[in-house]
Amino acid sequence: MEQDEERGLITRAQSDPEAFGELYRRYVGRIYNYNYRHTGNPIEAEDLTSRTFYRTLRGIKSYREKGASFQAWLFRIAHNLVVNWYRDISRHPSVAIDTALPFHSPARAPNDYVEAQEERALLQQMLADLPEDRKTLLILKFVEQMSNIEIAVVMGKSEGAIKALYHRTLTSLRDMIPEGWLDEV
Amino acid sequence: MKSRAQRYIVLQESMPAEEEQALRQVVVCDMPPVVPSPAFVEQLGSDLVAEARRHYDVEQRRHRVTWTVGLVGGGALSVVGGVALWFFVWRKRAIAPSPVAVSPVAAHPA
Repeated sequence: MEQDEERGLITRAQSDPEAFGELYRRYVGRIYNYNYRHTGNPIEAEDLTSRTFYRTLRGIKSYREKGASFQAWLFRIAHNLVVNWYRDISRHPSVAIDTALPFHSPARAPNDYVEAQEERALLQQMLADLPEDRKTLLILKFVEQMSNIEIAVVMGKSEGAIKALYHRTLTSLRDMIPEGWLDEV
Repeated sequence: MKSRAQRYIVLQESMPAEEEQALRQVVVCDMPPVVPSPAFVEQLGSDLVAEARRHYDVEQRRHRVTWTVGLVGGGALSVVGGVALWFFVWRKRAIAPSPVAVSPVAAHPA
């Protein structure tokens, strides 16, 4: 039912500016979140988000639901821009990445809080250090809860390649995480 | 006969489900949803709608021009084609020798 409604909205958005605005409001949060997870910087995330939607506007006429869902198509546009962003920062490595988000837990004792902050910082560093494709996979799989087929569309790989990458990513993550952390979860 | 499991060597075992779940939780906890500022969402939204309006207007105008040019061009071409056909038939008729003009003497020389 919801899918039919969205399909109708996409069709209307191909010729109606208001419908396009509605589609934008549905996805802007997720696209921004995806970009922020990669860049760690709200300004870069805003820039990538607006570029993603301008590109979507230019290409929405050519969108046909053949195999790929609209969200996979949209995330593919965002992903291509993120890949370009990584390429750019590798050429200009002085760009700062703003990582830490405040993690307030008033219920915790100060010592526990500091310890949790340290663990969190370590984990954030580990995730930030992951290669771009692995980070993308984790965001799409765990945060966006996409299927392997959709992730394959976004990343331009086969479903088998995504499964293999997923396994390798989890294994490397498990090896990087200090012993005992997973038992605490 | 060996079973399928005996014939193939397992290269990589899959991760236990509970371990995968724990890793998922660790990653998700580390990535709480981040929302864009309402001002940004509002501004980009109105810019996009304005751009969409302009974009669709241009497209519609282009579509209309293409149709008009196609219609006028097609009409003109069909008129030219009709005239050319009429001229071709008319010329063929004019060139064709009349059967009365053929002399019987010339047809049967002595």
